[in-house]
Amino acid sequence: MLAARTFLAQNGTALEPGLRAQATVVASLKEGYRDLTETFLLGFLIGRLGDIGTRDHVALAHALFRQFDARVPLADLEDRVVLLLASLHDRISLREDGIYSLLDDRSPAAAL
Amino acid sequence: MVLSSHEFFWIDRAVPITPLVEDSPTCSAASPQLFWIREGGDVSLRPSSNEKSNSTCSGNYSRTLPVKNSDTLASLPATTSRADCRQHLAAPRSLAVTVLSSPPMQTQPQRPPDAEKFSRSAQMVERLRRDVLYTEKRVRDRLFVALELALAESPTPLILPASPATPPTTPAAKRSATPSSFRIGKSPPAPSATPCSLREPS
Repeated sequence: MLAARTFLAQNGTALEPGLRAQATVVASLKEGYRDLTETFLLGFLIGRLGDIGTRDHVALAHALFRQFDARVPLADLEDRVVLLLASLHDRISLREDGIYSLLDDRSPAAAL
Repeated sequence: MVLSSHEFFWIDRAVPITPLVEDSPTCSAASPQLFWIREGGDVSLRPSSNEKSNSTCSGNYSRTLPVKNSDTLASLPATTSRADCRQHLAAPRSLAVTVLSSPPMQTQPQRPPDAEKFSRSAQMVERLRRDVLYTEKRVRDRLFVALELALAESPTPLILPASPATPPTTPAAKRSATPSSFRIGKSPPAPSATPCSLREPS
């Protein structure tokens, strides 16, 4: 959550990862912090593994959202992956070979 | 031994290879180089690169038998027979034949269809764990709730912990999980000497 910049300090700015984060009071959470956190995880995997593509949506759903509950349809989890990927539209690109790649290597997901 | 049944399947499509009428063999260059044979016996194949030739590739397959163009033999016909017609089986120049079930020969262990998918997700989980970023979804959701409560109700200002493995909301999340019989286990130890939350973004 810290890496996803979802913690807000008392002045309303997002806490940055680093030593100062350990001494800063967390006043609130950024709106939509759950989506932001999980989007960060998704971007992190795309950046670090480097070979995640459109065929990996199911694997991503398993890795990020598996709940070991048969009542939770896998299709819903896949939909969530797609929705989060859509929110990364300005930070990732889809190459011709179907592989996602980070547009900016300095993005939080790549910098961690 | 000649094939008693001619159920050939492209390995990546799981559909039968289309039988080709004799003397009109066609074979796509994109054809895969592996196929499955349902029943045991010998196999006789005509290399697609040599469509007009009557030469054949053949062999007694055990577990995996690569049939190469250089193995061309004329001892077996290039056709398989059915009651109503004779059919060619076109094939790429180089083949590997895998037997699915042919006792007493041993079959290759077949990976379940989902094995690759799960190994891929395991690879992703492992990558997240390495940077102390992995939490199971149910645990993550409970931590979110506990964090919201802590921020809303805590009388003292909330400061992030020095270790990402011991978030202050963990006890509250564990308590909230107890009524539903869901158990939040111990957090894994941080594998790195420098937790990710302490790293300055580069």
